[in-house]
Amino acid sequence: MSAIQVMEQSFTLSRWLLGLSPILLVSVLMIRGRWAGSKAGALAWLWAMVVAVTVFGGNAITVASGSAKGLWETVFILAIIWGAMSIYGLVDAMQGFPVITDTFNRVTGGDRLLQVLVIGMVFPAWMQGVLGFGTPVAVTAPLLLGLGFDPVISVVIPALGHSWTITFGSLGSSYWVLQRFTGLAEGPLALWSAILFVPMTVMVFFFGTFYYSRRIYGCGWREVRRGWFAWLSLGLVQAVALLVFATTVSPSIAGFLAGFVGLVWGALLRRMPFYKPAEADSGHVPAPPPSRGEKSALTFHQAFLPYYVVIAVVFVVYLSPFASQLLGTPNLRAALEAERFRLGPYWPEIRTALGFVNPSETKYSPLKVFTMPGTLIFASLALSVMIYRLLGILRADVGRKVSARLSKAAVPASLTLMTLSMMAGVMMEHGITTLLAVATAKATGMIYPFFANYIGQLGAFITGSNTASNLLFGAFQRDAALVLGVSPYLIAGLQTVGGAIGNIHCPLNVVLATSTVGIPGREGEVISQTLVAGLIMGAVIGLVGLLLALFAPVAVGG
Amino acid sequence: MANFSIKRGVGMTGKDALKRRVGIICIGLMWTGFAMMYFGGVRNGSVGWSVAGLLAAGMAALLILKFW
Repeated sequence: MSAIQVMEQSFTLSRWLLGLSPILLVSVLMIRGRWAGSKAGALAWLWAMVVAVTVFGGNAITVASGSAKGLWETVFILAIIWGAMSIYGLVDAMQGFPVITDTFNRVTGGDRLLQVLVIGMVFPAWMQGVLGFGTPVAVTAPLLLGLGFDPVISVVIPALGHSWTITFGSLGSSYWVLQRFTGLAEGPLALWSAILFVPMTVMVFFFGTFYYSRRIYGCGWREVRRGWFAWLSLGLVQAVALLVFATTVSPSIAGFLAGFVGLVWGALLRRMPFYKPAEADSGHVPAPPPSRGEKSALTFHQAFLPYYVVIAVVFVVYLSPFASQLLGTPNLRAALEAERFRLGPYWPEIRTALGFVNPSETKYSPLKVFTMPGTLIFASLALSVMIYRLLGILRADVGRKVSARLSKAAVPASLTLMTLSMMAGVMMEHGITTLLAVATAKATGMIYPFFANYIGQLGAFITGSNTASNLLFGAFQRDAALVLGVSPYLIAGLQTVGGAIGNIHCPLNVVLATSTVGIPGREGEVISQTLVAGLIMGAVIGLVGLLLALFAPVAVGG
Repeated sequence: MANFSIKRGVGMTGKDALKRRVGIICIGLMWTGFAMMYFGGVRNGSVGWSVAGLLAAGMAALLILKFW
């Protein structure tokens, strides 16, 4: 019997309510109670274990297995956080941010909205095209902070901005997982997923502008009205580019190419006739940070060097398979990802008393030690330090400043990730997430297309990953569609769009960014904004999905 | 290393430093729990090791709830 069938048979209303309770608990504590993520996560993990043992047939070994799996997953994410914090610390210690700020201010004519849209949203989306796993947010948030933006908005903006390239980003990992696990044809799946990304992309830029405006001016609509051409055109141009590239070039690099189109469009925006530049007011606009004491002697390129190196290292490694095919150069990535460089613990089969089976794995969630994002970021850090030293501009106290920053911010971020990840591990190990998805499909019937994207959001909220969400629920969504007589392409598309939206408000990603801008413990403030955006976007996407299912079933392969 | 030490980082208050110390202990407890849960519990199917690992990680969770 499949995992889905097991949980379908185990469904009761009390199980559904109790299964949902750890997620509700962590959300309420962080958003309403303003608890730090570590504290909310600790309580939610303890509660999830109680629920797993009492209601979902768990025992000491199954909860230990789920918790241990959760802890193992944090190694990958912690490497990104520490790396991104170190890069930020290096630029800060080199006194690079005042230089970067001055240059960005000059290039954007001091227009803060353009900085938000291009640097805060398009740049991480482009970066997401190649390297995901929350890294673009962790890299961009400190950049915005360095430009003088408030730390909360510095996290909210890139969290929104990078989301629309997630499915077709990271070289298409989320898309390919969905395609593999649903067994659906590549072409139509890419087409319908990309179509559903059109409204989402536009909404992402709307919400970015709205939240920025509300935070700075106290009125969200002010900048939405003034900058309508900027956010609307950026959203539309990139969404159409994503659709074209995903269907005509390759889903693997569609996000990267669409992000590049966005960068070009963003650079031209100021000269476009429809764009109304910012007035030279205003007391509300955040001032760039004052340089601390001594004036930096760096040029912009020297100050920005660590970020250039990150981009170069990532591109050299992740795009080497394409370069290999086109130019015959060595496939560096394949060499670095050989089986012997993948580290993962053997995991035996774990079965709950309800009959939910987690199959054994020779290497559980293996770490590709040489190409995982954390390694690439640390390699970039080392390279940047070497280049600074070669240029003779490395400051003597850089090491001390970077390690001081790390030691201060790393502990709370690590605790939050570990507790939340253990909670997620326990829930998945006992089929709780599967039961929640099954229950949604059973309860909603023919209006299921409206809710399908929320299941994708749920998966990403728990796991922090669009790929993992697709892996968890891809096959289930296809089955639900077939049972209900709805196009599986449409429902699978809704699943992956939901997974992308879920990345905006999932605690694991938010922690990753809050820790890099020095506000660990304030995750609730960020999530209270991104969750609202996610739920609204989900409703609009759901409505689009429902209308397509009802009125255009043939067009979507039904 | 001027005024920076493992006990108190640069710019930290006494409360911050205490939280950080407790946090480091919690991280240690959790990974100790991981070792017990994985090697003893999951790999060998031992209920005793699983419970011991959960107790170690659970203690860390309680410390977080108390001090954070």
